[in-house]
Amino acid sequence: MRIRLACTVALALAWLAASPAAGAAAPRAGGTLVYATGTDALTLDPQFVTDVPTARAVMHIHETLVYQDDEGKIVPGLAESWAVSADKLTWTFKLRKGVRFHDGTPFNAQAVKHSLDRLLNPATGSPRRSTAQAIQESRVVDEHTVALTTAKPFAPFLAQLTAYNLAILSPTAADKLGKDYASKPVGTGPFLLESWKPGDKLVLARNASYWGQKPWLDRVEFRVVPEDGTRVLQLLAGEVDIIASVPPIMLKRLAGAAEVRILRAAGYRTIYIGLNNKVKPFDDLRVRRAVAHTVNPQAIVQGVLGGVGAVGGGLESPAIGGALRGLAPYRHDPAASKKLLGEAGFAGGLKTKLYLPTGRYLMDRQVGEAVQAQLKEVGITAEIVAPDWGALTAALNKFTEIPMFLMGKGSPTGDLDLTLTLVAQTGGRMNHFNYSNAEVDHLIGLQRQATNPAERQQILRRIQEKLYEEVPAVVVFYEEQLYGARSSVQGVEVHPNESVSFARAWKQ
Amino acid sequence: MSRGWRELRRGRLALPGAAVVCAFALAALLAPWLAPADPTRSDLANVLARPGAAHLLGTDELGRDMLSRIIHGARLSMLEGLFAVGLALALGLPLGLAAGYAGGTVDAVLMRVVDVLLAFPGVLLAVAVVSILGPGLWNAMVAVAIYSVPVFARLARGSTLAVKQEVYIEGCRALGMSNLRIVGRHVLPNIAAPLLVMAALRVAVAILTASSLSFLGLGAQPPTPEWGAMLSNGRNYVLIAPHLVIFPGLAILLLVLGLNLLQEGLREALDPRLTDR
Amino acid sequence: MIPFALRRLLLAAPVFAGVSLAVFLMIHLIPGDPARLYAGLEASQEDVEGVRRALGLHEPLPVQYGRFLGRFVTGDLGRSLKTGRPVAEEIAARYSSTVLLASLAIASAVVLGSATGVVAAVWRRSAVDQAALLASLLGLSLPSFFLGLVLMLVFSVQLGWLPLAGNATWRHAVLPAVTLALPAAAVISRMVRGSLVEVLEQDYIRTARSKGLTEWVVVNSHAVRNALIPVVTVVGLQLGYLLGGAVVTETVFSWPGIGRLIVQSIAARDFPVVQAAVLLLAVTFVTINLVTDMLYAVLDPRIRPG
Repeated sequence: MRIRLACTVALALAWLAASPAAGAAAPRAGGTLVYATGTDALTLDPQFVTDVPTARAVMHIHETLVYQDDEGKIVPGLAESWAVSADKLTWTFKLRKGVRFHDGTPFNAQAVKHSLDRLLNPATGSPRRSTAQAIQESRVVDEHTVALTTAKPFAPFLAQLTAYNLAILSPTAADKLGKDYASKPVGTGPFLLESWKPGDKLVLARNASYWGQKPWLDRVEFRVVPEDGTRVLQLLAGEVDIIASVPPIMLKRLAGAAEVRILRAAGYRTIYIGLNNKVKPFDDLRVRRAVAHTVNPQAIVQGVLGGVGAVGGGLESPAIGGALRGLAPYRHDPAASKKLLGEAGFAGGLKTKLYLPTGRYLMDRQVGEAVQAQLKEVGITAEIVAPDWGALTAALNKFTEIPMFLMGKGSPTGDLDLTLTLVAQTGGRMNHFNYSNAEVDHLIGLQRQATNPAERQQILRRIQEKLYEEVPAVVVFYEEQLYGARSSVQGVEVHPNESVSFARAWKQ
Repeated sequence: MSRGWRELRRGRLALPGAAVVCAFALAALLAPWLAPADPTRSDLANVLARPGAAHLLGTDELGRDMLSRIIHGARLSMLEGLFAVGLALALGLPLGLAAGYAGGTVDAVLMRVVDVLLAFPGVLLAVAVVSILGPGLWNAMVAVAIYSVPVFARLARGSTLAVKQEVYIEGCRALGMSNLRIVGRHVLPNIAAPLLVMAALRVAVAILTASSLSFLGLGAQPPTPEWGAMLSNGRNYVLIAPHLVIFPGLAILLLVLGLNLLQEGLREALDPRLTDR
Repeated sequence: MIPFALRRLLLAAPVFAGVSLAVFLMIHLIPGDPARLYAGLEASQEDVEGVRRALGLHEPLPVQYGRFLGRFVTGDLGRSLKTGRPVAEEIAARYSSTVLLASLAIASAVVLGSATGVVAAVWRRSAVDQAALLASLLGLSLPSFFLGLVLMLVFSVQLGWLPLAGNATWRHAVLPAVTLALPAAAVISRMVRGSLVEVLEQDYIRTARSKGLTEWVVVNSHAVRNALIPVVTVVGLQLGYLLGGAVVTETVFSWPGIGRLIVQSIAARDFPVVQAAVLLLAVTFVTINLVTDMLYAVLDPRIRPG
């Protein structure tokens, strides 16, 4: 409850901080916003987007049928309204009228069908084809009405449609450009692509014919600056206007600077220590509980992250709709840990390996080192192995090699179905800790088809409680998003699903 | 030789260089006793502390004592230099010697291999090798060794060729000595001098290259207190804690400078006609 | 001269083949599945296989290598596995960025190094010479990442005279070029001094001096040309080194160069980009060596190619 309140307050504060205060200056048209990012967008084709930095650029050019607001409620996007059939299998969407793509092609039901078909077509080669696999058939009812049918009742359907992979592309452009669409995208969004120098900068220009509230800014520049420290320096010097992922330790310095403002928002991402349930010694619940009692999330958030981050016990961040709130982390109790270890036969301590990604998540290496030091206190010697991302994923995907690892998980759809299937179901693609519980598997299947929200909530609750009891992974913290912006920048919207919108931003 | 000693002692370069190198060598050898704290112990309540009484060189982002980390880092840097050069010598010497002595096709093939290695500009060869082997201090040292092999191979070959021309080698062959014996008894000792001087020169290069790899994240891994890795880490905090960057940087600079001074002094003393590479 | 050049290029061909094969093998030896990397951890196995087929990664290695060579010879460098863009597009801008930086650096290094080298040679064995020696040794001992960071701290952060990152204006190039130039200048300086001293001590110079010509005339007209010869080789080597070794400096200053691209592409297992970029750098490097060898031959009449 408290966490929920805190989240809402944080979001509200962020929103207030980012939007013009009542009675202050009115939005001013014009100007270029320079956003310094650590990595470049990989592609501008929504159906090939697999990471957040790319999504941030793509989602200014394209739009989805529906969106999720910061509380998880589904709100209209390119679709004005929708209804589901009595048998819960067919979803009918009434599309917005008078919308055009950046190349002038009208947006209609044919365009929606075209995009979905393209995603589902194996010949396209999309790595995220499966995000649309629930859709068995898409049918054009009339110019502005489209009907999507699923094979079985699919409760998270609307949430699924908010995923960036399901954004709508211009059929004319997609057909004409083929693979080159990735560098010459044509969407319906508030901005269109002006220029792109890969690895250097991406420039978006204002869409003067946008169907909604037109942007104030003339241009948005996504500038690639890989070094965290350099981005902060550039922000302070005024060379850039806004940066994402401010290193938490710089918070005080930035907060003290008059010309810079901090935007803080809750996030969907959980950073956890995965314990391989199929590998000794972590197949023993007592050992896993011992680790849970050893890791001290508060100390890590305070010491390593400068207080930026929320703690909790559930694998799903409380900011996500449907996530259980109020699950506290396991009590930090080294004595209890030692006792549990003793019971499990490891009174003399144990040796293991902790695999860490480096540079993938904020302060991932340092968090891992801090965990290693905490484990040492109860006699668990964890040797750190930090291969690069490619080698790490290769090792993780063997599923039996790695005993202990640090990993992060987000929520691309803002709905628990996707992540639970990936992470908690037996054989889930991201179930690297090999958690396997028949009851949980059954429940996951049930919740997917439970179209009654209250009923679904109950099932989801039970799943999360089970995960909490069996602690296949120890939650370290939930990432809080930290943006730094020049004081002249207003109207930036930061969302818990890690997307950011400059559509209503302006510069004083 | 005695003239060399005199030159060396008089040298204004060699002495300070030797002093610095010895200081670091001592630090490396006596690290566990010299360092005031455990270099890997983190103290989350005391992060990024400025240099002061409790921590002479401050603490890093996990509260670890910088002075202890620098001292232990000396160990790693010395190791990097000696191991990488030793390995490079062990690989490059036979390669060059075989090519020079055997001549013909063997020479052509071996030197082509060396050319391929040399065609990789700068540290990219080392980067590629580390990517295969995986990041880690030992792997980085192997990568640096491979990066230095062509230098030793070429030098060994050149020196071998020069020695091969000598009349007495023909004489040995006429006497019926086996090639192996000729190589071992006559060629090897005569090419030793320039190769050893080159080895001394390359130690400094090896240390710089290895710490560059660590800086790029490809060498030593946490929580190893390697200077390049420490600098790489520290640059994120350079605005609020510049000591994280300055001390490891100065350490590398001083050690390498000391090595270069020493090597310069040695060169002047032993053979002023050897041109530097 | 032309047949000499042609012969050298022909000899270089197996080296290029060797480099391309070496890179191909190396990158395939690195653990990590590019199809999985590209599709992401969350992608279903089906999606990953789809990506693998689309990228042509399911074929056996020799076939893949053959395809690569075949396309390369016709000028098609393939498409990046990570972004789907043509590789040529990916590396073109980055390559010219690096070449620009390296050229600026080597030009500054030659000017600075030659100046200090000449001064040290003319006033050899004096305090000036010692100072120059010390300066060169310092230049050789500075790790480029440390130098770069310190320069950035002083000139960009404290003084605010120069920008921090990127390559938008000429000002952005100053600090990275200086960082690259100093070690190269140190090497060049030593080379120039050593070579010039050797020439200055030779008989024919003494003859010119005894004829009553001033030291400067002696230096300029006779000595410099002959002293240039070994220096040319060093400059060529340094330029080559700068092209590839600039990766650290590019990282510190966020300079969008090809060194950084290669490191990133290795991490992403983006084979086509790595292969094409490394091969391009190797070709550049060998070409530079070829040109310096030819210059060498022009300068020294004793070394005319037979």
